Amino acid sequence: MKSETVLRFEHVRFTYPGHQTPALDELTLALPRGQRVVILGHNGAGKSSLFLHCNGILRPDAGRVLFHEEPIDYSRRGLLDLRRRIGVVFQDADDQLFSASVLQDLSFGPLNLGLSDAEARRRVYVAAEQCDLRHLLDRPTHALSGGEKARAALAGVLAMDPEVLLVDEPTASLDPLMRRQVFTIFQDLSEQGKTIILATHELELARHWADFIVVMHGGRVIGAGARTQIMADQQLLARIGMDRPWYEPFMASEEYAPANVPCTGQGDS
Amino acid sequence: MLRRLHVPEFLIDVMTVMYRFVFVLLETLGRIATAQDSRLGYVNRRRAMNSAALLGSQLFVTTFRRSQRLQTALDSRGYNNSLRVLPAEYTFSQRWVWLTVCVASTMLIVSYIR
Ligand SMILES: Nc1ncnc2c1ncn2[C@@H]1O[C@H](COP(=O)(O)OP(=O)(O)O)[C@@H](O)[C@H]1O
Ligand SMILES: [Mg+2]
Repeated sequence: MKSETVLRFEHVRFTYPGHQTPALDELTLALPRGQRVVILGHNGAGKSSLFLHCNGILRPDAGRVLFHEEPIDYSRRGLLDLRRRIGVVFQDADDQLFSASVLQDLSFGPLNLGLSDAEARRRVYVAAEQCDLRHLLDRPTHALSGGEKARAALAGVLAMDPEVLLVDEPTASLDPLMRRQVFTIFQDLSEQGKTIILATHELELARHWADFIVVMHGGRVIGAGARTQIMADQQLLARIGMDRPWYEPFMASEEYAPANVPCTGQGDS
Repeated sequence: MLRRLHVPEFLIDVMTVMYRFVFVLLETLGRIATAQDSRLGYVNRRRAMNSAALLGSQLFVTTFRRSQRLQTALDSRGYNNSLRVLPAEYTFSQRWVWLTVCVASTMLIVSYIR
């Protein structure tokens, strides 16, 4: 039986070499399986560092990380298995795409899993289909647009068929139309029962998309729970200055009236 | 292609990554230069020399950081000392391969001197 908690952090502490303040500080957290999770926090809160602990790129200085309630096995084989099951999509697609062509890049993960060329090719086509990249497979990577690069980076991870998908700042470099495309893919994956975990500093994403929200601040988890519970907790949100929209102090004072509707205004015409 | 010519495996890997890197590098170069130009970094010869020097060092730092992030991303997809990918129908363009060779050898020489 698979457990209900997919990833668990127990008192994890981590400091980057040569730094004074820890990036993760006594971090304790349990993430539910099969849900849509948002890790919410400002820049520098420790979201990316948390992700890199999930797939064993970084190792805690103290404390431990458990996957399906088993402590992570940091041996070569253990890590390969972990990275097969937990896929990470990085914030900047250019950091991830290393190959000259899209097809080559997508095949990298599957071939690392020891799959045959034929099976790897099949996986590539499935992932490309999913991310609407079939017509771009032979394109040189540098000739892709921003949105296409983002989808290629996602497809390169999906080709490994992970059960948990971690995506770092998925909205940061995408315009609204591209966001819709990418979130359509997330929706499909979520309906397949996969756990999807997004890191973001956008409250709106947490408010409208998440089942489960984790609030991070200064390398710690300062709140975690169901969306409704976290969103109702004004005190918690106030601690990271997200209890009201950032633009509130600058808001235009007039009421918004659609241009094509005649204004039945009070004295302004 | 190169594999058939008995070029050592690791050199092919270096070439693969470099080929891609050259494009990213050029993009970064362009962006920094434009940003400098927008703030009049190239208004006269003295300022231009200064800006170009800054550009050079910034590019070096950026490239170094980027290579670290690339390594992290490769590891996350199960990299184990070999960049095996499916052979693509896509062929490297001759011009860019030569540029890549030039950049790669420059970097090798630079890292050797340091
Ligand atoms: N590669 C790195 N080397 C040194 N310090 C880092 C590195 N990455 C992040 N940090 C530091 O760790 C802290 C947490 O950063 P990060 O995990 O990137 O937060 P977030 O993703 O929430 O913005 C920050 O103080 C940041 O400066
Ligand atoms: Mg980050």
